[in-house]
Amino acid sequence: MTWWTSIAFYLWRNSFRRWIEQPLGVLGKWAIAALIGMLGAVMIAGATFLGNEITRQLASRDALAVAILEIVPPDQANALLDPDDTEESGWDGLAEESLTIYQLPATARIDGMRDVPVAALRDPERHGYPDTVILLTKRQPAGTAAIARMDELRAEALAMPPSGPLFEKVIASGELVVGSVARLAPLMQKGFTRQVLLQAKSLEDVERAHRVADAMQFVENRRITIRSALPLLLRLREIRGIQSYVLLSVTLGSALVLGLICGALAWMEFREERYLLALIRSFGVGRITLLIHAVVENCLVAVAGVLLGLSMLALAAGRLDLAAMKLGWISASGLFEGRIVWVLVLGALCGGLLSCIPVGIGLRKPLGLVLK
Amino acid sequence: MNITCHELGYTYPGAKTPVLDGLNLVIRPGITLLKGYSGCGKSTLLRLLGGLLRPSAGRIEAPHLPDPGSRDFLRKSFAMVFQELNLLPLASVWRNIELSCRIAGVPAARGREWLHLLGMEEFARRTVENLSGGQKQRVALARAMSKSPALLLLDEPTSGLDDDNTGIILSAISRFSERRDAICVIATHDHRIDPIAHDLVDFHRILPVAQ
Repeated sequence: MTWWTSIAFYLWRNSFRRWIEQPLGVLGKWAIAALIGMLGAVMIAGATFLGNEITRQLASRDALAVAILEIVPPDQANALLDPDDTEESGWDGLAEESLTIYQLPATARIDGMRDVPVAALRDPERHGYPDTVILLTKRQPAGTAAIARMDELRAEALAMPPSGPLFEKVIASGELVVGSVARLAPLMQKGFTRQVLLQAKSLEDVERAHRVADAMQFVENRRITIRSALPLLLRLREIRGIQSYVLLSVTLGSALVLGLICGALAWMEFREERYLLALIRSFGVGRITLLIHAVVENCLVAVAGVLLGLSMLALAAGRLDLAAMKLGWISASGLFEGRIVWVLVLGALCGGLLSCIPVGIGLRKPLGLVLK
Repeated sequence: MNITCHELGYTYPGAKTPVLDGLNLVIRPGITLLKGYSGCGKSTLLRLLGGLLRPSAGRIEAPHLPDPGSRDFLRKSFAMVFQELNLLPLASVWRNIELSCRIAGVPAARGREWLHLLGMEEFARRTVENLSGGQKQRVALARAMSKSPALLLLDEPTSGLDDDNTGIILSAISRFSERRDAICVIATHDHRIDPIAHDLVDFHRILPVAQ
């Protein structure tokens, strides 16, 4: 055994004896570390759950849906009906999915029984529909025909189901008669409403769509209305930023409080131990050796306390019906997954390190002032 | 081989007057006694010689020794028996000696010889809490001497001891000082130590009486 291991052995033996003879010190440290660990875990779980929920909401389809409505008067109708117009493909570039429909100020009478709104698509085949008059409906079997009468026009409409989520949204309130822009152009000369439905890929795309729509409105003087959850999304993004700070603060705060309390206890113990440490120093053992022992001892106690707190929390979570107590988010946040445990263990290690500061300060005192 | 103090002074933190001021002293190999009234600075001088305190003024020269207070000095060249003995608590007599020898890098068998010489060999397994005052004193001395330090400092090594215990301790100190280069400095009020001393430093004479 080298002198270093002899000293380590003696110090550890001494520590264990101290823990057994004066259990209040170590039990106090454990209890505090366990309580702070539990509190920290619940707060981190809450902040993590909140963050995950916000991120999920921000990425949800509903949150990233954008609707742009433009009322096109008769004098501007021709410009937008130009087959070379690239505005529609411009919107496509901003979104995961997009749909531009031209809503006519007319209805079609289906089978002489019901009136259904009429809309045009620039390229129906792009959406999987044949270039004919279509009745988008869920009421009638696909492939069956219906007679659609629009003013003086009479056409046979082919019943088809909506071909995607955006079409589902369009016919949410009923049915729609759809034809190509080229086919319905005569009816569109009276003006129409262009509706662009975008399913944006990200919040940034929603912001970009708003900028483009604003530019059309203010620069080109067009009558555009854009509807999205952008203000709410921006607020959520802001809250997610705050949540990151809260998470960081809770982690650092737990470590700091743990460090300060363990430090105070370590200081009280050190006042009793300083004769011993000074004596060992007078044999020629360096401060670093003694500090390493104090660091390892305090870190071990703090980490053991935090793990104890987490285990108690896990045990309680297993026994209690958290969902019934409206605390389901505790387990939903992945509280007992590696990441949060590691965060708390790291916090406890920081606490253990902080608690050695008074020992470090005490070790600087001249030996001649301690040893009598 | 001498230790020389030049204009040595020391003021305790927070104190207004120095406990030692302008002390010039040459300590030669052998046994040197420091005598004087309580509070005249005998123990402080021991601590300064051992590098446990840094002088507020002046300097100590010991060219044959490592820097006083350095780890090398503390580990190999110096040993001290304090007034309060400062034995390692919760440890046996043997553990106290063995640990000190290990750190100093000397064979622990030397400690056994000193224990034998001081009549403590049979108590080697006992924890130090279970020893009498005189026995503790002898263990502390055995621990200090087993390192074979070049500088041995003893602070009141016989205070409160009966003549038998004092006799054992004095013979051990005499045995230690047989080494040609060893310096042993003893702060004491005890006249029973006088016969074994080679030099006497009387603080009444060399220092002005404190106000």
